Amino acid sequence: MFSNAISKARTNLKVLIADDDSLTGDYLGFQMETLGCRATVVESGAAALDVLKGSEVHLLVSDWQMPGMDGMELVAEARRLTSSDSHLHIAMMTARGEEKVMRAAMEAGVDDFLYKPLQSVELELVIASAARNRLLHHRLKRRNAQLVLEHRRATEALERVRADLKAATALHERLLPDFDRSGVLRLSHLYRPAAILGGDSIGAAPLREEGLLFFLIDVRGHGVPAALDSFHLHHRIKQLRPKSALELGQAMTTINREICDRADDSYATIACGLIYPEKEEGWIVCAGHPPPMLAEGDAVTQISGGRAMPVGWFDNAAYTPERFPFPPGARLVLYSAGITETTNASGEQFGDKRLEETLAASAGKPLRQFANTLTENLRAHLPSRVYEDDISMLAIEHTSLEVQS
Amino acid sequence: MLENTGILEVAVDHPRLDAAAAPAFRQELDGLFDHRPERVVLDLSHVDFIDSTGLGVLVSMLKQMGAKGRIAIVGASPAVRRLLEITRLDTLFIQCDSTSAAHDPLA
Repeated sequence: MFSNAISKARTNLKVLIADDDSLTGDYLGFQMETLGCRATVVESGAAALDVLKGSEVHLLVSDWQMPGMDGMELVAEARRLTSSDSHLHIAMMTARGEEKVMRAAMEAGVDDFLYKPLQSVELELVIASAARNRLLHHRLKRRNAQLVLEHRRATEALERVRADLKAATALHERLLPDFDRSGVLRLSHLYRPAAILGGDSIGAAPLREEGLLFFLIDVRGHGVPAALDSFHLHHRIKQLRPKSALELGQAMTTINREICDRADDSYATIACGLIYPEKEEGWIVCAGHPPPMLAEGDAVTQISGGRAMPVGWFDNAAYTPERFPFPPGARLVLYSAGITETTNASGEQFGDKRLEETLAASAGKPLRQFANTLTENLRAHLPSRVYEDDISMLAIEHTSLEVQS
Repeated sequence: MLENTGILEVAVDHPRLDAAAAPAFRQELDGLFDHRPERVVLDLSHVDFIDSTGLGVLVSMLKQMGAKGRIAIVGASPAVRRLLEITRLDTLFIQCDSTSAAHDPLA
């Protein structure tokens, strides 16, 4: 198959012969034509260069010794003329065969040698070699062009995916609470997905009855599938919009059953609650979620939140909200496991204790400062900032009347 | 991993049972669960960290065993123990100090 292709390539081989002896040149040209090539014969190096500049040549056969520009100079010039990705096979005709001279010719760009007096078999060998190289070069060029096209298509596809991800990230970020105050409640949050898109979602929605629905979702895994799931859960909670402790438990039970009914392994941990500032209390359910922290001054306690299973594991799981006091000045902090499990190079986790201490130390300072200090403390713990898990935190403060004014 | 009469003993040798290790772990379990064991001792003494994906594998393992399935966990680190508590898996998995100590509660 390959040899057939070479034979075909040989018939189209364009050969340029440079020899100051026109008799030898013409004879060689005749032999080349007999072997199926198309030959052009010139009598000087300069004339050969003119042909090379103006037309396609596959094989250049040059005599070594010529008046004016000799064979070596012609080869060097010919190599300079042809670009690195074009193909030109060069054979040098010589009577000499010293190693040193041949090496110099090789370095100048000679591929083959033809020794005088010329033998037909040597000529055929040079033509076959040039034809094979031409064929390979042609295939390589075609393959390269194909690769360039494929690369361009892949790059365009990647750009489209990047743009989609960027749009999805923006969409996901728009779910974050877009207000920092709801009546006497002040909110602050941290959100930093480990990948472009995260499986965490933070939500808050004021209730008509002067209360606040709030939640933090952490879907199993990371990336796009987790983000899609957390996006759905975020909207599902807001759609169910529980307004009482009873409805809160029912909403979680509904969500749990809905995920269990799906034929996949996805599940999520959720901390979801309600705050009624006038009653100075709140209710919360922790479905497999790290226990939220409640701070009154610098005293920090953890709320178990009715300690329930993540949603999506077992359809008979029970979700019973737990009441917690929320007087003016109190702060509630929900956080994803990504914060406490942030592990430094020594294998040490950030842990509950550091989070508690950060919260306690923020007593009396603006809520936003707590979020900023937590960010700084996490960075101090993990200077590389290469987080393995999504980082998210929602802090809610019951502002005192004094602060309100 | 070895199998004793009636009780399957599984020693997890991944220090981190996370999204990277979970597929291989699940595949190993699938092979071991061909005989549908009802009692399993899971040795987690070499596990330092379990993430949400790793935890998902433990739960699917429990589901795969059916209503009669019972799993005892041995050698859970404080971090793993805390994770089991937060997710209430401590109510489904029996926790023991050693493999031999796990045999009685499973009997």
